[in-house]
Amino acid sequence: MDEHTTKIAALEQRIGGLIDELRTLRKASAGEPVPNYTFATTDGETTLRDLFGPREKLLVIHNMGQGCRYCTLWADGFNGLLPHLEDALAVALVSKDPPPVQRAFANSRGWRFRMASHGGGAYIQEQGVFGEAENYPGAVVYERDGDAILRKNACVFGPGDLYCAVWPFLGMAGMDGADWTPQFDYWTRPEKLDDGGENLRD
Amino acid sequence: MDENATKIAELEQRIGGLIDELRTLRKASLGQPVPNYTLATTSGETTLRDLFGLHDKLLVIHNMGQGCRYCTVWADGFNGLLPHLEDALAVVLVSKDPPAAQRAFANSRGWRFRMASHGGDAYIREQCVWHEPERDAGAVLYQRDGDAIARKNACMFGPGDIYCALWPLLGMAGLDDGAWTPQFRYWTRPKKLDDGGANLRG
Repeated sequence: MDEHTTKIAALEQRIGGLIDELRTLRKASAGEPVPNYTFATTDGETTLRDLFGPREKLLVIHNMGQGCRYCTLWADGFNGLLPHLEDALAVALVSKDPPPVQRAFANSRGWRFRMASHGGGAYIQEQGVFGEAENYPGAVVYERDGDAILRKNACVFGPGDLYCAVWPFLGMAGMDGADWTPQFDYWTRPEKLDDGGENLRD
Repeated sequence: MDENATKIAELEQRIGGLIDELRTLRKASLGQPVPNYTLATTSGETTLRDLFGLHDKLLVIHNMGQGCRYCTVWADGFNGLLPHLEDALAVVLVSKDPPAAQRAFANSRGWRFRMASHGGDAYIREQCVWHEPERDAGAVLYQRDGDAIARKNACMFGPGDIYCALWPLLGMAGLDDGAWTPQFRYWTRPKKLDDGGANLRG
């Protein structure tokens, strides 16, 4: 191994050790009581407590909504992991988008998430993951204790975090967020359509 | 913020800083020349060089094969991210499984990866990222320069790495791989089938 490779291996090991420490600290988080917020879904109103279903732990993914290509990228990765996550805890993806928009967007991406809309209201104003910042992307784990709900841990999403493998893979190729921007779709339709092009929506 | 929350925030910042450092180091990796290995696919033989297609960067995911539930979790996450990754570089998933088994397994999981089999041969013996080629889980980034191929960077997969969001999300709920083991699927079929149960395979 050359000197450079040894440096990389040592750094990877340090990062791994700190991630272990983070896990230990998070496990020890006491949790803060939070209100039982109301959300909108395509099936009517729901509450934070209802989103637990029969589970005691609930992961709420804070997605900015259909206007954010970055949040979409993170959610695309979580969607693949969803069956595994849902074996361990309840999972819901929330955004400000109204339920029919959430549904149309989820359909367009093949997402399987249970979804709920906070509409930019009390939930996201009070349970944001980044100080006072409005509608910041990230996730919160809540725990239920009888009727009480505790906010146990939270995290923020952004390139270089622990929650989206695209960025470290691009990094292995010497690329970063300045070299590549995520898009909703990497296919663009032909200018001229073979079906004549009537009633085209976009 | 209480003391534990402050500690967590500081640690997250430190980890983020080190991941940035890692990206910088990896960008400076020179790359080691490697042979043009042969791999098997459902459409016949292919080579490492062919797998680049039109790209000059190729991410090769080292999957242990259908016998590893952990490798399957990582790949489930990458599968959701694949359209994004493939916009930036060529991606292929390799394992020791014969192409027909790779194909059946990919179909059962809804994977979209291009796949190729090294059959446990020269490719994985010489390019493995751990010490045991039979149990290799990770990824290698190759770069092409004309006909030459260089191995630029590599990484190993394991709980607590930066390539699978599942583990840090479970960590937020105080869970780790001591508390939860991934499975291929979380549904089990009813003992008694309503269709009579003839010709049942598993």
